[in-house]
Amino acid sequence: MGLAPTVGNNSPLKVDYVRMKNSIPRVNVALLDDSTLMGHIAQGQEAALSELYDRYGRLVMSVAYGVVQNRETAEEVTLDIFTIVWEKAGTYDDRRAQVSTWLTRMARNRAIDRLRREKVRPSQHSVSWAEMPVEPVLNETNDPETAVHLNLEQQRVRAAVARLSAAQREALALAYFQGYSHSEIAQILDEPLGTIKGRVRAGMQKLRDLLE
Amino acid sequence: MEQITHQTIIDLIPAYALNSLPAEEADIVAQHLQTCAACRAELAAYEHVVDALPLAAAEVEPSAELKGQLMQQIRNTGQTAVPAPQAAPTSWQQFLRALSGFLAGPRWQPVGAVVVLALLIGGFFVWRQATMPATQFVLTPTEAAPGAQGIIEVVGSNGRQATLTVTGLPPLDPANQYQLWLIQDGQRTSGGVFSVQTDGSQTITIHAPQPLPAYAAFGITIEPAGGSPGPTGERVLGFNL
Repeated sequence: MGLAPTVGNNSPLKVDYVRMKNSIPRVNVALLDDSTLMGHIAQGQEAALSELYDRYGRLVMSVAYGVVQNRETAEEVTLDIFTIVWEKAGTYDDRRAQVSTWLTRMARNRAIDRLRREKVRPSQHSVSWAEMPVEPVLNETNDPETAVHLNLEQQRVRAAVARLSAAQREALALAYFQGYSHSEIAQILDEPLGTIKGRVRAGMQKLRDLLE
Repeated sequence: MEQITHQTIIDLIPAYALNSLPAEEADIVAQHLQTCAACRAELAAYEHVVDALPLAAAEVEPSAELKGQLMQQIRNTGQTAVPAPQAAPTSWQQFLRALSGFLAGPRWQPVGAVVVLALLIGGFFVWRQATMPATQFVLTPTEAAPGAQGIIEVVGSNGRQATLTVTGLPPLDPANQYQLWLIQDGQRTSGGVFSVQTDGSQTITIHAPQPLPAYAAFGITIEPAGGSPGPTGERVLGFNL
């Protein structure tokens, strides 16, 4: 019965932290949803960061690799992203974006910045979309619910991308992964600017319809 | 003309969401978005598409060593921005800043180091008791579950998210579950329904309508599976002001 809150202080909410820490097991982070996990990271719990990495390390790495097309650089970007998460988890706002969205936006932006800074944008672009169909592969996470949800979403989005024409997929890959503008894509593919604009627009419209 | 402009913007929005417009066109779209709710809705729909695209990226597994490198790196660098930045400094923090500024002058530096150290050691525990926000609540067991322990830990900056961790609660038959109650002004709001694992432990996430410290009490009762609108069963853990 030794866990009653301490009484007699100026606030009745005070608790016996030392005895509490010794007697209550730490939160099982594998059971937490992403947003709550971020709260624990903000409080400096390494286990929470480790869990987040298990859930999304591969996704962040895949986006980074899709952009930079180089394994070593992609790993550096991935390391940067999770270090930023550790340092800035307190600024995460779950009303603005899901954790996975927050991570992938950061990964894409940082990887494109890296390409621009180092002026090493690949002239021979290899399309970065996953091939379809894909076998379901569960991520190495302790949280099966998150893994299953992520996997289903991946299947859904990949199926939608697979239904685009090859030309639309190529144009969207150059825009999304490489951060190229319409005119740069037109130059790379040696096609008229108007054709590229129409291709990107049509591809995005189709994805919107398929993903709604 | 207005209609043409609007349609032109609509056509540009997919590329705007992808961030693949040249700066001049992006500026035009951004300006239009400020006054056009329909285009903002259009943009939101395409941003949703862009946010989904990473899931279609070809999967690349990071090397097995990368996680170890990450954990080593955070141990070396520490955490520099915890927690949310909008929190106002406490009066104690303001006092310390003023004192450190005063003692930073060259002639005070040797004395200052000693004084600040003494103040920090001597005042730390008093300060902690006086200013620490109530972010953790330890639940006390009742006679119905004398071996039980529970703690509610507030996480995040808005105070409405928390985790409840319990241990030592007897596993219930499938017809019953435990239910957490958040109590304020005599009103009881459900904070979640849960079962415990075979060892009597469980962790759940709480999304409370009010910041947790605003509640006067918390209780956990045994309820029919799926929970009740209000507590009906025996109380096993509680916290009262």
